[in-house]
Amino acid sequence: MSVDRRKFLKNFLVGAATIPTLTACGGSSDSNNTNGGGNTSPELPGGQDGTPTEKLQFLVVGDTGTGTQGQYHVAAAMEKVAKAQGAQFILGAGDNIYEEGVTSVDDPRFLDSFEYPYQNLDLPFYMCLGNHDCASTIFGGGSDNKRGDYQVDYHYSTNRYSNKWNMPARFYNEIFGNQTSGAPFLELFVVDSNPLTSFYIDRDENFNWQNYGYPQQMWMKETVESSQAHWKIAMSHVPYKSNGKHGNAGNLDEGTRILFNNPDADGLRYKTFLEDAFAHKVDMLFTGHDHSMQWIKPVPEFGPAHIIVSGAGGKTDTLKEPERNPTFYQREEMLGFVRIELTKSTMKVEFYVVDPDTGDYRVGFARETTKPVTTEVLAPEPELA
Amino acid sequence: MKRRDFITQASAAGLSLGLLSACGGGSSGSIPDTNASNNTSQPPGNTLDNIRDHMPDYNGPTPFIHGVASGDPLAYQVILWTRITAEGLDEIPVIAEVSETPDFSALVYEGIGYARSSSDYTVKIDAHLPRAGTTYYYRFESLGHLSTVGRTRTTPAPSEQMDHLRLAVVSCSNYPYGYFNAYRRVAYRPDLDAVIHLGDYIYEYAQGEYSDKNLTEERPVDPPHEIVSLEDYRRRYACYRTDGDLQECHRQHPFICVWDDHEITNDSWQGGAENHNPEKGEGDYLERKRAAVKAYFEWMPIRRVDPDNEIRIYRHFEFGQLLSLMMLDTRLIGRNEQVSIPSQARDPDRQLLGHEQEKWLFNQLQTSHSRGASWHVIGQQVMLSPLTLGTLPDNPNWHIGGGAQLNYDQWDGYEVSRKNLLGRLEAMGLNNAVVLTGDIHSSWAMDVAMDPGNLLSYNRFTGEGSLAVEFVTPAVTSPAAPTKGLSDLAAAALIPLNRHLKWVDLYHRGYMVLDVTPERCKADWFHLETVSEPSNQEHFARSYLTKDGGNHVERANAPSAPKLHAPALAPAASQTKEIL
Repeated sequence: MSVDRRKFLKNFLVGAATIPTLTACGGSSDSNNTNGGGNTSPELPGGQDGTPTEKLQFLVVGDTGTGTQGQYHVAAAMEKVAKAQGAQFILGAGDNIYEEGVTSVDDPRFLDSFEYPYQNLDLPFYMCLGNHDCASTIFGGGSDNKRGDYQVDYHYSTNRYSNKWNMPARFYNEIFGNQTSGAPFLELFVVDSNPLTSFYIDRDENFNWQNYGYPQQMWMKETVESSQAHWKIAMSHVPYKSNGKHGNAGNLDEGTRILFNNPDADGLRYKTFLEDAFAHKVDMLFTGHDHSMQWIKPVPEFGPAHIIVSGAGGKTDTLKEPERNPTFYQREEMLGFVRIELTKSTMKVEFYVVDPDTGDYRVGFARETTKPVTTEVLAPEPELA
Repeated sequence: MKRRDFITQASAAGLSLGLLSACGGGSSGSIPDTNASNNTSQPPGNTLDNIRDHMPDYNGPTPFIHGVASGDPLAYQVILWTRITAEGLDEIPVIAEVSETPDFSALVYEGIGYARSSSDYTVKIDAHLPRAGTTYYYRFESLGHLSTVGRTRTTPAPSEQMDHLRLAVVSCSNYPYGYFNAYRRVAYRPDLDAVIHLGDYIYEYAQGEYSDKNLTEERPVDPPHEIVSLEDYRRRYACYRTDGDLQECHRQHPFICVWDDHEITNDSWQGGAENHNPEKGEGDYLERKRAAVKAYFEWMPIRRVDPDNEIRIYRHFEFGQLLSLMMLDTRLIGRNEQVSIPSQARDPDRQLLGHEQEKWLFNQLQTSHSRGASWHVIGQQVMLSPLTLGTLPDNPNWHIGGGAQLNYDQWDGYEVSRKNLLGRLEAMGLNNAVVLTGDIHSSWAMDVAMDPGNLLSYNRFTGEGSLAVEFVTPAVTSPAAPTKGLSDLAAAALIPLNRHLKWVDLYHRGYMVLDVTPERCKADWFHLETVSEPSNQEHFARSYLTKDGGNHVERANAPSAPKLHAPALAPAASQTKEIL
């Protein structure tokens, strides 16, 4: 499998593709899988010529893959915002293909739920697997993790409609831009949360905690620890904290969990995973899963990181318990996406609200704040005369 | 500020001569003659001769009435402890000497500590010793007196291949409830590598409140009231440490201790305790906790783990490649208040260990696994496995099942913390985890399974589905069932209802010997005939082992054989001659 993929890669190195050594479940790619040299997109500021990145802008959208009018509305708004405000890439926080993922690399649902809706948006997408991407039924039970592999295969496909789709492995890291020192400006860590939290048990043992969850956790922890990037951002599908119906990791889907058979559906181990790998190290965590937009205030166990739920890229829902976690902002029953702008010391977060019926969009909330994690005392930059 | 605290603590605990020599002139060994002859012209320094020459005047009896102790052994370090009782004196120099032989013919270490009123005249010296996995003999000298000789042992170097370790495991030693016969039996086992004390080393109650009424005159506690203040806690430790059996046990073996609740007060947690009653004039709990913790660090041979966090006692030890020992604090550092109903016990926000300690534990398990240790032993206080009156298959997604639990002070009351730990063991695929437990005054052998009531996930006959094993050590004196008959009855009822439970004895007092080889980890329970009077009668009760990679208990028929060529016990007090 991995040999084939490498061969594809040699011939069709695209966009921001990396050179990971992939296993069937993407788990054991070696930690230097971003050292391919081609992993900084050419269109990024300060990309190839080595000049330091001053600013990085991107959009975050989740739970997109409906193929319905709503997704097209959001796509259109994203296109305009990207053009007007600037964006170099897009993060997709999972549930890329509703309702039950794809069943082959040539599945037409890649077109219906991704390529056509975003055809006018010519930016690389960094995608994350969601429960519906790994489901065998329309309920999104997540018991068919193997199905997610087709979305990785699509990254390496030679016959795809566009080169926008980036998912080099089921879980992966990716670097963007660079600092004066040559170290990356931003590193993104993408988690495959479905095997850790699925509603129903996946009988495929390759995806149990021993064979998949814990190795992923260790890989993620090591990768984050060894990261030299200035900004560190994690993305996953299932929330760590959310005021929507899925709720907080550790007590996910309270009330409806009675219908599930996976003992890990409460997300207790997933919570520990996230804290273990990311707490006090990353600046932001993006998730989807709940179809709303929320900016949750940092919590002590997770350190200073801002927790953002952006799961309204194709579906809407209510906030089940708006008071569950303190927020800076939350919006229910509206579509939308988030735009982020990073400089060396600041982060600007803009929530765009998109009307599901008319497609009208506006800024719902915007706030600029200083970089949350300040681990090292930065040496003063030499002043340029 | 913190640094100053640290220095104060370090010097209060006693500094080794090795550290001091850099700033305090040569040691006595290097320039003995000059030191002796020019002694009067030299300013006092921390050389041994100077110390000896400037001892305060003292004409009283031996100041070492609370014995000697050692603890927290590392490969090249061990804590040496004693206390000075000398009316009217403060800042009393105490010299520690360590030798590989009981006759002290060649010293491998000499160090100085000071007995100060600020530390209740206790002295702790962290001796740096030349060899790992070695038995050493030590003694103290102060005010013209020598202490009795103590015996201790460094742990094998972490990389060393070991084929045999023996550790005694004790808990719940309530002075007014009986004679410390268990300590005496443990003291006279020369082949032990260390003694693990899982807490309830002292009890806080007033005279007669929790005691054997027939022993009121023979074993009265001091102070006679419930202990609340720092002075009270100190006096209670001093009272316990006058016990000859306890002194003897400390004298012969290094201890590795953690507190349970009674070192503070019954059923204590982070912010309170069942037996803390401000309405009865017991004051602020946090103040009481601070007092209890301070006295604990003064009187127990424990090394401070974190200079910035006086309440932290969770820590780890490495016994060669054979065993990693993680000692936990399930009481003070992270525990939320006890609850009484299952739905509350399952509140995902409740913590038993606290976030930091849990993270530390998981990291330690991973480290132990990565370094290739054969056994990963967790020493802690309260029972990890569920104890119910009927186990149904548990459904974590649906808050019933698991049965009606009996004791919400143990991990049963912190369902999510337990699930997190077991979930981690399962996720890691970690073999050979062994949990040692005290607190409950009885002997138990159990499989540790995620959902023991579920026939699909745990097979009680083969042990399949078990993730680890749990061995529970009985009390040194504290009682459980009042008669053997009641105990048997309860055991007969509990075992069918708790499918993971293989054996329980609720009647006998005693101790456990953990005998570890690369092939298996085995617990031998030894039970005492009585604690109502001094007695050296004990019998082998039961033995359970877990095989390498087995992760479930199996019964063994006989206790493990003692080690051959065990190092000699420290000579009895009468054999040491008074040379000064």
